[in-house]
Amino acid sequence: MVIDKQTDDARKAGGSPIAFRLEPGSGVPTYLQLVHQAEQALRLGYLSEGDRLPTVKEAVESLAINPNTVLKAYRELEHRGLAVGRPGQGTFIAGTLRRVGVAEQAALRESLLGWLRSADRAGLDEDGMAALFAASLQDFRQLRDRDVRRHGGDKQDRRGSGRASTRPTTEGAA
Amino acid sequence: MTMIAPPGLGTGNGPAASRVPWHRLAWVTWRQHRAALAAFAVLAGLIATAMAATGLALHAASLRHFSSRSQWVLLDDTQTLLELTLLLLPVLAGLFLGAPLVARNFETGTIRFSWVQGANRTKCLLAAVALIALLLALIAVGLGLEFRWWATPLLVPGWAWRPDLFGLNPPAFAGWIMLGFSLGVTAGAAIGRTVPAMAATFACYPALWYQVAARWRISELMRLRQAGLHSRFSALRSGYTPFWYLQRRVPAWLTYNPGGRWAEYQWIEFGWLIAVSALLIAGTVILIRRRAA
Amino acid sequence: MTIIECSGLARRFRLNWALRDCDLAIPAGHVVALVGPNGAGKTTLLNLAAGLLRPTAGRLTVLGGERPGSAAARARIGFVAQDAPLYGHLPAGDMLRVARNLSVRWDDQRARDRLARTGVPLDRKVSKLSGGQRAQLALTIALAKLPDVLILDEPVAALDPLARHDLMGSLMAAVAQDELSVVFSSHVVSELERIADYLVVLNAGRLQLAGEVEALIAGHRILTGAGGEMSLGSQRAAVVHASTAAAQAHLLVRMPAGDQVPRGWQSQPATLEDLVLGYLRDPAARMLPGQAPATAGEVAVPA
Repeated sequence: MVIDKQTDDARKAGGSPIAFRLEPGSGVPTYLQLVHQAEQALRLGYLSEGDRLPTVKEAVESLAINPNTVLKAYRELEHRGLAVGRPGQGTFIAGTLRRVGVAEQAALRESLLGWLRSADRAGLDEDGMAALFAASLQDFRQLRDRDVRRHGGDKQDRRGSGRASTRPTTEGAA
Repeated sequence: MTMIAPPGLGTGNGPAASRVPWHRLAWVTWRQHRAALAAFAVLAGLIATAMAATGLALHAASLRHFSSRSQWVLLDDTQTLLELTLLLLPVLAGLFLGAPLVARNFETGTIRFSWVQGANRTKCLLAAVALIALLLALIAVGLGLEFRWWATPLLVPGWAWRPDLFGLNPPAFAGWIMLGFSLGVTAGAAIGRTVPAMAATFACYPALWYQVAARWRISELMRLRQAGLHSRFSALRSGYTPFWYLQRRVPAWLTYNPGGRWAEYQWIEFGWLIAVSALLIAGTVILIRRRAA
Repeated sequence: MTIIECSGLARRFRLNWALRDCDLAIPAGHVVALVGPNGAGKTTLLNLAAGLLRPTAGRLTVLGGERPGSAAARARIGFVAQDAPLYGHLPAGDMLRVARNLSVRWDDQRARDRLARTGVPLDRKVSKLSGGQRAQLALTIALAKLPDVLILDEPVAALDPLARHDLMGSLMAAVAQDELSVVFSSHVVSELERIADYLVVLNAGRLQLAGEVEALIAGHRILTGAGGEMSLGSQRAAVVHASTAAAQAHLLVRMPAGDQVPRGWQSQPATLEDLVLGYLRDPAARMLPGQAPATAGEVAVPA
């Protein structure tokens, strides 16, 4: 996954600091790719609070995708508390990703190693483990999407990929 | 799903009317056909210049009562050439302005653009036809008037009624050029391809012209009936006038139209030519309305 | 509002039925992909909607009740026919002026800006422009008349990949900027999923599939399992298309989203390409809104 980082000049000129790219063969729905790219940009520091995400028009022109896809991605970012839309101005970064604490990370790593050991005992080789993990991640994403679709704008996420405590805002993406 | 974004429909600096005005359609016709129209105008200009030059010579010679033989030859040659050119102008109008008007759009498929962009297809056609017909009529009247001036030294009794020249006078000539043009347009709309339409026009117009010139004019205009000496066709070719017969004391029944009715007959000819042209254009309108793109 | 609505629409050319029994109600506010093999009737349907053809049978209205080809329909629909017909002997700038004089509404500044942005030189003759430039010019002309609906007949068929991407990108930007509905036809399926959110599949003059892309994808699955005499049990699954090998079979099935996958089968979501190809390969299969779906396949998988 590659993120294009635009120059400071572009940022000063009012353009968005990032530009999106697509990976068409990845099997991940387009809107989710955009969400993940925004999150990754936030994680890596390309985006900070107050920065503007690309306008819908900019994004669809460079990617040749349906504007609703970008809208959906921005709505998802709003639900995760990472962005807020201002009508007529654009969608702006409003929150930060909660960093998973060091202790939590260590615990997660331990449990993953445990799973890998069981898989090894069951006779799965490394490629098989990777394939099984990828398939389960896919299932996990679908289940989460389905929950998001079913429960609309409710905040019911207990898994927490990092949310600020904002309520969902209007769909003011320009 | 709803679409997004503030309504970006620009304020548009084009026409706010709900119909496309005629003058805009006329401009479109002009822009599309200006090369052909310009070429036609240049041709007409050349003919006019030639007529002017030879006419001046003719007038000068006539003042000296055509004293030299070379002047007669010049007169004869230029007369024939001019008549031929003027008779061909309506055919050329039909071929190069009429036939491509509709047919080229069918061939290139651009009706799938012009018929859906905004103006309705009948209006597009009528605007194009009106503009070109107007220009052609102006050219025809101009050349016809110049021809009358050119031919005044030739004026002998009955000249004005000559079957082959009758149609070159301003009102009739305007009518003929409209007919040639309309034939081309209709052929283009009916056949749908430019070159076959040109061929059809080229075949139809002279046939029609001959019918009128050789038969109707002689029988109606000249009302010349003779007892057996010459066929009607040779009467046309040699341009025999009643004067010729009188001079040679050839027995012939002559019934003729009084000279004063000349203008009347001109306008009659103009009238029915315009009527036929209008019918042809109406036929074209019907054809394009029924046309599947 | 529906942008194209037809019932029993049919069109015949001499002895050949190009379109038959067409019932559609395409809603506004979507990017609609009209898909099908060559000769399926896509151009016929779009030409009927634009008012260039008259139906042989059936009813057709556009823009919520207007007669196709009427003055109101012409003013509100931007149409780019196949191969982007334009007057070849005119320079691009004059072509724009001609289009402006033929249109009822026109935004000249926007047209010129767009041409400048897409790199179409105004002084070059249209016949000397590249395929991509001609397509951009035709699209600019259609957009400049400020339509409510844009109808494009195979806009990218003859374009190289870069020109194709640019055209689609600028088309989507125009959709994002105005509240525009788009109907475009294509016989290339692979890139549709990113662009279209409503799908219509035509095959040999008949409708096979029509509906919102999200709903269609949610309602279908690819089931992979062992070949041989396996049935899907008592599941309410309808097989649209089965591709079988000796030991393995892939089925495209119509299955409501909440249903459980039958035991012994693996399920994968169907992509738009899977859907279109699967339905095209089985012409008797149909899934149209408001009608009982039909399939050609049986529930049991043949060996």
